[in-house]
Amino acid sequence: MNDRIVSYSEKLLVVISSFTKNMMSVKASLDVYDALLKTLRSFIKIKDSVFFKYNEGIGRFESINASAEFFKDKEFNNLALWIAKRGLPSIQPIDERDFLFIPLNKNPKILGLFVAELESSLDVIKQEDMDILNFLTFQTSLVLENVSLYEQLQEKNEILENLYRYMQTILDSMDYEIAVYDKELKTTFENKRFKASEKLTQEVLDAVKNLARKTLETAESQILEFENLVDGESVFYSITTFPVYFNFQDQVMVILRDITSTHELERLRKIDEMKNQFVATISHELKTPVTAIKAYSETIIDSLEDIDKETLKDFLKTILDQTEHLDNLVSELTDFSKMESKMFELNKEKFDLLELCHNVIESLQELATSKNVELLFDEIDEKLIVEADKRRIRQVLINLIENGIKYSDKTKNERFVKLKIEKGENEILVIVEDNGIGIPKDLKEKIFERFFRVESYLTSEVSGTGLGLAICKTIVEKHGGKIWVESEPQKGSKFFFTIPVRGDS
Amino acid sequence: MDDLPTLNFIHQKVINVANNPASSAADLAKVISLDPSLSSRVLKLSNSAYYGFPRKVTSISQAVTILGFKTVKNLAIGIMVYDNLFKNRDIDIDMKKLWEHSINVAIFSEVIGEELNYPNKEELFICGLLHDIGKAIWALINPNILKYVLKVCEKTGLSFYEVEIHLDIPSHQTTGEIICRKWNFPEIITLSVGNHHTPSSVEDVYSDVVDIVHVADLFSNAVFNDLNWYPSKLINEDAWNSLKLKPSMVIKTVQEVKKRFESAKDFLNI
Repeated sequence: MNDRIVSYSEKLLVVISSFTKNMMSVKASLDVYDALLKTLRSFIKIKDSVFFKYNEGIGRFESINASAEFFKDKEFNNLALWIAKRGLPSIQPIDERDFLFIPLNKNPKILGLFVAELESSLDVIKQEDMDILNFLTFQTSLVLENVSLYEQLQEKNEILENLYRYMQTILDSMDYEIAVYDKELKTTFENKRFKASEKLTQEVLDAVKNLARKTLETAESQILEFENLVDGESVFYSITTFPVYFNFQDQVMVILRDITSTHELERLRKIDEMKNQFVATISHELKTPVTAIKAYSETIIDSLEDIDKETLKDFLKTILDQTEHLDNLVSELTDFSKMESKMFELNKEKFDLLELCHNVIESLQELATSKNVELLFDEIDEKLIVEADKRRIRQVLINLIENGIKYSDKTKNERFVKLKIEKGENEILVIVEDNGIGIPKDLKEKIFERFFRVESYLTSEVSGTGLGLAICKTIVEKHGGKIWVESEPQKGSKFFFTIPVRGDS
Repeated sequence: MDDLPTLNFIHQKVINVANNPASSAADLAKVISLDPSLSSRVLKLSNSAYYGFPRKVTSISQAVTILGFKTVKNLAIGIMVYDNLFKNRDIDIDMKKLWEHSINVAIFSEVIGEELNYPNKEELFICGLLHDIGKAIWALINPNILKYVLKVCEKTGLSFYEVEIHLDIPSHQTTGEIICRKWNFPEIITLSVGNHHTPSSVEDVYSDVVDIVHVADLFSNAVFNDLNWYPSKLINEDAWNSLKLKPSMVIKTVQEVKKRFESAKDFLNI
């Protein structure tokens, strides 16, 4: 007992101020025990103290700083449990020594136990001292409970933070750009790749935002493949969005993937397949005229004496026809290989497109008649001087009209192919219209690809290399024009292409 | 009222020591030891199943430090009250039943206090135990009045306390308060005895003790049905609201009290 302190109220004041001061500096639950010890020392003489935490699982008090064997004793544990459950401070005589036990509880949970060996003899402990001990037991329990809760909260926070970092690392290491947009289309989350995505053009970001907006409106997941031209190179993106409900807000998660390489691979795979098909087709195409020429030539040689002049002329005409066909095939192949090796050059000159059209119509009249197709020319009353590669434009016209004839619809009584020309300010639009079998919608783009033939889907009656339209496209685009098609199956097709009037454009 | 019993000299000394905050464990042990019967029974109760202390308490001073100064002093007061007021077996009033009810309220008060984490819980047992001390006084000094009150209760269906008020006689809580003051009992006991039917009238630091005893009294009557003494059935709203007992706590409290009552048999025959 501190002799200086006389009255009960003065003592209480000293203890309370000491308690307040000591507890102010508490940061962790272990500090609570230190603060309690300091406070107790302000009015009781204490030799030594031990702190215990309660292990609920095994129902044992575990010492934080005790070395004495006694504290690991079962008897001690029973005693400690009794005191803890009673929730009141107690002074226990053990082996001629007196120990003060301060149980720290939050009813009914046991938080810990403070044990101190008293220096003063038991007899001088006064009622007021035990009152103060009661008070300290109660108040320290409150502090310890709060500190423990705070620690648990911090621990939980740390776990959450680790989890967050873990998720962030995973999302960052992904090979995709991932972002989350809120309702105002601002990003609330971006993974590392998205943050570093300066490469993304405005077009891509706009496409992403549009898709995000659509997701917000429909509340449904969206998928889009998006092609972006960057310095003349096509970059393909796959954009996938998911509606996310978070923080009482509708949000959108966006996953953006650069699929250019997979796209390219897919394209090459298709071309390879087409090439294989092409080789098969072309061998067959070449074989037919060669077989015919060979057969007719053999017949002529074998029976030269027996054949009359008329028959011989017929035979030779067939051989010539087949040779021409063969010649066509070979020049298509030549053109194609030139195109492939980028050696394709235009020889531009000024000429009258109208005259060329007449010429082409004339040369195809015979073929049309043989197929019972009417050739029409919707001409205009004006000279159409263009600067272009005359031979190549002719090739395009022949190809388109020939196709119209070849793919005529045999179920229709009146069949026609109509050539029409419209003059614009800077370019001339050429239209080749027919009422043939037409092109299915999903194949409209494909027919301009190399090796593609609609008949490989529709009919095998028509011969050809399947390169014609691909060559046309190259020629037209090389001239700075465009080529496209409008078509409806069973009704007919309309091919359009444009040529700039001035050759330098 | 002049016939009120007085405490003998030793018992008065015990109260004096108990009331002095500066008394030491040794002081209390010394004064209790002056009455061998008192000290042996304090020791017996200290070692009873109710406290369940895993070792053995061998002296009063040990009991004071182990169980607490207040617990021991209150044990002594409880025994003293029993000796002075409840030992009377001559009359045909069931004092045993009243004592049992007192123990029930004592345990209820203690358990409610623990459930509410009430800081001064050592005092609750004695406050509950002594709350009906006024009835014991009447039984001792004027059993006829007591019997008359009980008869009126039977006829009217009113509670014991209501009849006391109607008859305009000093109620048992007033009588109890008077004897507590006469015997110089601690204020916390005096107030809870004197107001356990009117808890709203206490507004100082001990108001929650009074609230707890009030609620414990009603709970005990409801749960144990242990009185043919015509108990009050209306709970005081202010007392109930200020305690903020949740339904789950009430259920836990009742279970705990029943369990603890089993270990409190030693208190029935002290």
